[in-house]
Amino acid sequence: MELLQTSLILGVVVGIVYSLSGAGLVVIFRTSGYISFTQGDIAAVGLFVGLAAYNSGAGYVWTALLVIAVSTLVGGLVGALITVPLEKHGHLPAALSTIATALIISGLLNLTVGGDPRSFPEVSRSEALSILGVQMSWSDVAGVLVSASVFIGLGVFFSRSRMGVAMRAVNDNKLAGELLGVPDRRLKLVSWTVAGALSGLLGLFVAPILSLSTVSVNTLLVFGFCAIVIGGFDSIFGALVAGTAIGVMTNLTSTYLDPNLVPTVLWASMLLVLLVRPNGLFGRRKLVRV
Amino acid sequence: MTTTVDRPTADPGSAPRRRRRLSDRAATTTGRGRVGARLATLVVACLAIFAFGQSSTPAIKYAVILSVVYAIAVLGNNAVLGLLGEMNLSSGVSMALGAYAFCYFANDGMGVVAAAVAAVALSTALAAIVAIPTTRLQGIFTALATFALAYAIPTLAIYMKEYTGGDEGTPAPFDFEIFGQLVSGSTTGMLVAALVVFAVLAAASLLMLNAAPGRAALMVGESELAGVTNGFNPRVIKVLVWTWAGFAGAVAGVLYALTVGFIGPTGFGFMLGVWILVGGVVAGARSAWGALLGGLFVGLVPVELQSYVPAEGTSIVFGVILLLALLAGGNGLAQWIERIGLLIKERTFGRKKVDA
Repeated sequence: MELLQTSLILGVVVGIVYSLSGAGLVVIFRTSGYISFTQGDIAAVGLFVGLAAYNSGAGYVWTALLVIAVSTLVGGLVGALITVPLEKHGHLPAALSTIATALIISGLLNLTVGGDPRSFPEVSRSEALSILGVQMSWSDVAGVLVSASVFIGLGVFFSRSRMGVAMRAVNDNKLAGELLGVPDRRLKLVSWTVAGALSGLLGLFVAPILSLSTVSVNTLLVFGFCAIVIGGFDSIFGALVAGTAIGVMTNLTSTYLDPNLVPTVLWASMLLVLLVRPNGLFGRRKLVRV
Repeated sequence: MTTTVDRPTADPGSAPRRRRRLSDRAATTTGRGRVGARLATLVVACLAIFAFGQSSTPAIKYAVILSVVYAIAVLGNNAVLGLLGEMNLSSGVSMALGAYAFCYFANDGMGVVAAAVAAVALSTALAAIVAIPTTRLQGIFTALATFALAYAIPTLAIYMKEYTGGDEGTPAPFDFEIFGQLVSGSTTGMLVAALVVFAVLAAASLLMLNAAPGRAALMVGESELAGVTNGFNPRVIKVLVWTWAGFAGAVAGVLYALTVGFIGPTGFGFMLGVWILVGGVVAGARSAWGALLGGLFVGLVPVELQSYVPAEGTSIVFGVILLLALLAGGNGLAQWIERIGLLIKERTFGRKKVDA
């Protein structure tokens, strides 16, 4: 019973961080209509710069801010210089360009910092609180609070703010948006910048758990992908619920079956959802005039 | 003085020529038409690869054989990418299924040919089953489901150690002979076998593209609504195309096992699916013979690059080449080669030299 409680509670904690991975992807999808494969590599650049600063004596807060700033900058640059310009050839080339960018960034990181995993600092491992006998560290608490804040912020941004609504409009009907004076290119660049920042934030919580390497943050991309397929491509709330469910499910699989089965269970559950609800649990069904 | 001028419109021979020119241009874009010329190009390309492989060092010959094996997977993946406009990152999974099933059946006492047939049949059936939910996603979003599958396969192979050998892997048959030629490793028999299988599948792919199945798949890929209007069921067409990709991947997997002689989970990571996809984009997703260029890009370029670029930096070159291919319109090298050939043909035969 104790094992089950631990798996469930820690599953929720890890799952909320997984959701953050899906949120970055949803932000780009809502504006541009495709998925980015380079978010993990963008985060890795920020994390390596942050680690260098930390090793030079910077405190954790400054390191975290630097990681987010660098990821934001790199995300914006990738969007501005590579992906958004390639959208003129269609969504497929734009999505493929994110794979190209991921290959280039990971190659550059492998050449400069090497592929060996390193430990990354975290908020604190000391116990913050105990829920039903399960101890949670300050890092866990910070991960949950920050992720929850980000989700509330994004939800309000996309539903209430003019810019958020305009970002959705750009993807829904580009021509109508242009006729109404919505600056689609600028909004897409904003979405790439915000997604870059979210990647850096995700990296701050993932790197201490998985160790920092050129591929460690990328590993979580697969959880993010599953979160948005299960939750619904255009739903921030869906990413949160699905990410949390994935966290619980993966923890239970690791505990009671076999850790090697985690990715397979993840993939199988995604297929199951696709069979029942192709637009995800909370995704909007596209209406077509007939 | 001699000048070159366009033939006047009034000339009775110009209309058919213009139609032919338009038809040629459409053929380069869609990959359909000019079947004879394309089959001839395919044969010439295979012969050139054979000659190159035979005249190379054993290490390069081995890389050439692997390239042809990858070309078969690229060929299957191209059907999904080029016809349906969808992204498949699970070509490595199809290869893994084919390779593992082949080794399991062969090590279980089945003959090599029977094991290969059984492995391909099993893998194709599994590909069809997986394609049913996967095709509920559209366009680039199929990449998400296939990415997750590609990510799952190495650990699943470790989990199923009873059948796959787990972390330690499993050996493949190494003494298989056809017509007295050893089909294994970097032997000439292996090169010929891989090239023959590739040529047969590429020719079949080309012929299907130019027949009703290809027309249906292209229509569904361009517009599902148009497909429905013309009496096709898009879901069925998509599942069939994905199943074809799984079949080609499984064939590639069997040949991969014979070439490498040993298979383990690390050989089928999700990056393999990425390389195969990239190979198809760079070489041209709608060209049957272009798949051979895609295979060479995946199998041979990294080996050749090692002389100039450290192994850790190979992905930079791949990424830059992919970006350049996308900036050039994403039509691929094969289409550009065909376009240049068409331009030369137009310049040579499409204008008339007259004395002014």
